Amino acid sequence: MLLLSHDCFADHVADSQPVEDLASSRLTRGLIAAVRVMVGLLWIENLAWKHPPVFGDRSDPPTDLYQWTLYGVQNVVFPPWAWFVDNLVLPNFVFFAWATFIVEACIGAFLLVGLATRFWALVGIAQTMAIIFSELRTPNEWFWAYFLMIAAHVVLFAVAAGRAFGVDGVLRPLWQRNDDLLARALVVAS
Amino acid sequence: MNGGAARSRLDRAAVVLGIGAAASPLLGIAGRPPLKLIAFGLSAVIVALLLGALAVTGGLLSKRALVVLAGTGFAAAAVLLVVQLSLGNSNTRGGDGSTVGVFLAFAVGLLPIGLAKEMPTNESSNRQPKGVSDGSQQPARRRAQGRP
Repeated sequence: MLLLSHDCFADHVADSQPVEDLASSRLTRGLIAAVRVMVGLLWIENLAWKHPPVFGDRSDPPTDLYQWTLYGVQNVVFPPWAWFVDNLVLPNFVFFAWATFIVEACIGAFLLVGLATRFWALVGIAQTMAIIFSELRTPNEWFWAYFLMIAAHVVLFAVAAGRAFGVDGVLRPLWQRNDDLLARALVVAS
Repeated sequence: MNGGAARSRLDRAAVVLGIGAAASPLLGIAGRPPLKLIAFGLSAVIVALLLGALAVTGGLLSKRALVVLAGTGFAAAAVLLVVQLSLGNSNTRGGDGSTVGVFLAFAVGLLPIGLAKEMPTNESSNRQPKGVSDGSQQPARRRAQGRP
């Protein structure tokens, strides 16, 4: 029953009304842009408690990003991830902390203005997965918050949110007319 | 500098980003989270206002160089702030990581707008993306169908 063929589905669609495009009114585009900006601000605001250059490395009691990284080992969500954090991340904590800071700053910045939005939405999903693997079992954490983060980034990717009042929407026509590698990559990323 | 409709879209984008940059210190007015989203010290506010005004001016006057200058300024401010945060407790921009993020956002927004090459004047031949788009080039029939 689950193996309904593609042809069967296509016949059904052909017999019924054509599939309706997503709404693209000004209101819809404005709301999508608002969600994109909000998600961008989520990442940017959470840079405030990450303090370079050491991010709380080996602090006692643990503070800053070091404390939240330790949670991934103390409250194991996914054993291979906990092994990775314990054996690779913590011994090289400052490097991974800088990488986290830079990646999250870029996710926030690019989503805020809507540039290469689909690509950065995917990066946001990957980064959220890393956070989930570290924090999902941390006491007093509301696990739905992380699932909602995933959902928000999936929506930004699905609707190509940067085309709604974002830089993608302004520059995409230019990229589509340009044949160089960067322009083609940006068409895909937007 | 370049064609009418294309120029106006790029220039409008520069104006909107400039206004957004100048208004961004409003996100730091509240005393604490959740309403305080970005940390802005006085010097960071001045940087945002000056560079935002520069981007708006560049958009209004169709002077791409000013837009690029504003974007470069935001990039430099973000890098300088990261360096200062890394070197010690105090910094002249009066911000933290969130300030870095918002300065970086306006840099990555303004620079591609300012550096964009001229658009051909015949916009009717543009390929249209499916689904949600900026809507400015959609046929009237499709717009009517798309209303919720």
